[in-house]
Amino acid sequence: MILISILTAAVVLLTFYGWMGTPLLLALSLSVAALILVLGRHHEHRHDDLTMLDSLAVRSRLSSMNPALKAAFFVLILIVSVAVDSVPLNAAVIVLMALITVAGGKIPLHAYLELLLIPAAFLLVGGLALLLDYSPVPSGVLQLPFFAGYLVVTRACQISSLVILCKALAAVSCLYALSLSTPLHELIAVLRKLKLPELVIELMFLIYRYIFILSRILSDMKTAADARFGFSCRSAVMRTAGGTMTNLLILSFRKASTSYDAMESRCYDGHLVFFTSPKAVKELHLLMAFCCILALSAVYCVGRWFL
Amino acid sequence: MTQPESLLELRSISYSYGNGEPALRGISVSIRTGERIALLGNNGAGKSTFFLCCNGVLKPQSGSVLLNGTVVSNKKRDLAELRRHVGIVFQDPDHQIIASTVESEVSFGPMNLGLPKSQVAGRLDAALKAMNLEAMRTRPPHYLSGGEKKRVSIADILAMEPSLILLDEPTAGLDCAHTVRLEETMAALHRQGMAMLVSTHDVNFAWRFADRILVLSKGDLIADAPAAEVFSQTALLQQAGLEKPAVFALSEALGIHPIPRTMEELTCQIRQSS
Repeated sequence: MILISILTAAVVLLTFYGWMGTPLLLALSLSVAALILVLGRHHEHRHDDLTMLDSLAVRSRLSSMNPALKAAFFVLILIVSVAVDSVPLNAAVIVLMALITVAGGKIPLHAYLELLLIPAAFLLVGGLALLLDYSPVPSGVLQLPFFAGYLVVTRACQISSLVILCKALAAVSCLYALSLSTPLHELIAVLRKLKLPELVIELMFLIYRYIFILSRILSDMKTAADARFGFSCRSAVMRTAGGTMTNLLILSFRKASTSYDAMESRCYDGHLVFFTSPKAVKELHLLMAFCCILALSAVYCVGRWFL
Repeated sequence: MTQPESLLELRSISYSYGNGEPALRGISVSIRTGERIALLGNNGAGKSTFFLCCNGVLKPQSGSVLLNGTVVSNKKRDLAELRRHVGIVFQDPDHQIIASTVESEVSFGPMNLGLPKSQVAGRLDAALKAMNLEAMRTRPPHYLSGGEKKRVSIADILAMEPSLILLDEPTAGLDCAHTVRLEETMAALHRQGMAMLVSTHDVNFAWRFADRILVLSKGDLIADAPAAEVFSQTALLQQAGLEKPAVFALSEALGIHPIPRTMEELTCQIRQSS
């Protein structure tokens, strides 16, 4: 977490170096780093990584909306924000997605920010690599001596890094907005309507269900091992991990066979079909989606004309 | 009055798993409409195998299964018919539940029967209502409690509208309150004319619930008689490793006849006589 905050501070500092006064810039990057540190403390308290996204999606207020509409909307915006090079547009997408998720879906703000921090680490390392260039002679807005030459930050690098960071963050927030508003099984149902092969769909349904069963067993086994000092030293950890994995494999085979019996006893004949009550597309929701798209287009045009 | 025709009949069925040791040895049982039967036996006595044979998931190596008087063949249609009439509620709901929401889970059976959507919806509503699950229709099963999951697994079977329900250890893992509610549910199903066969270790529960008792021991059916008769045979119970129900033992000691089913009835009778 400390590493991420230092990285963020460095990336902010280098990206905006020369665009504003140095004291202001320093204050900005330090406050960003501090913010991440504060959020990161919360992060340590999280208990269930694996199922967090799903439980948030189920509780989201947007989960009652038609899943196909949501998927179409978010994927459209995702494609546009990746295809179009426009920092204002991407910034607007980031803000809009945060609004939709936090204000619309009532996902707790700290949970949303914690989730955004996960890809942030990757984005920031990438951003740093884009910002810094190696040159034998000093050039650009900032030069740092490095072996025989200089690590330089040029205006072009700053702009391309900003564009790419914004684009990546916008794309990530689109995907988060989708997965935090639509439970996975509804997305699978949408994919089924899109005529994805049946085998893939059925596997997705079963894997989704089994992730929860097996992760529950895993966490129980871990607790039981921990209660018997299974994680007390390095060799114990290795032994525990090995035993747990073996056991989980055997158990999952056994569970699979019992489950198959249970499915057969309910006349399963090779086609996994469920009935779900349809969630109608409401006109209000269509209107809202349309307004969002209009607003984003407006931001794009304004950005085009004035910046 | 004529003897009601048997709903499900097993004629000397045997089954053994790969290891050679037979799990069931020549078992013959006949179940009639509306009966309440408890299947007692220790771990490994063959109760689960017995259930899977009743429903056609396991094919007995010898003997035959008859549904409404006709032999169930190996044909797909016959098996489907057997499974439609005889439903199994598995011991661990997590083994049974495969869908991602309560409503799609309960719809799985009726959808497999190939019913039209409107009919599936109707059965779904009825089953959810019977198990009091309407409020959690769209909830994913992994966020339900143990008792709620159990109710879902029963609704799963109710939606198939069977005439016989096999319940494998239904009270295992349930707290007292949930057990009481489950017994109420089972009483309601009995009033609707549903036949029920319940495997259990809990002799007290078996005595409260069942009219007839089957005792399995190491793959043999060692008793098939009215409940009062089975529980009065001490030697038999010892052979199967079972105890007498508390109410039953107490009433016997006090010389109360007929023996009451529940503790409340027993205390009532004691108060009246004193």
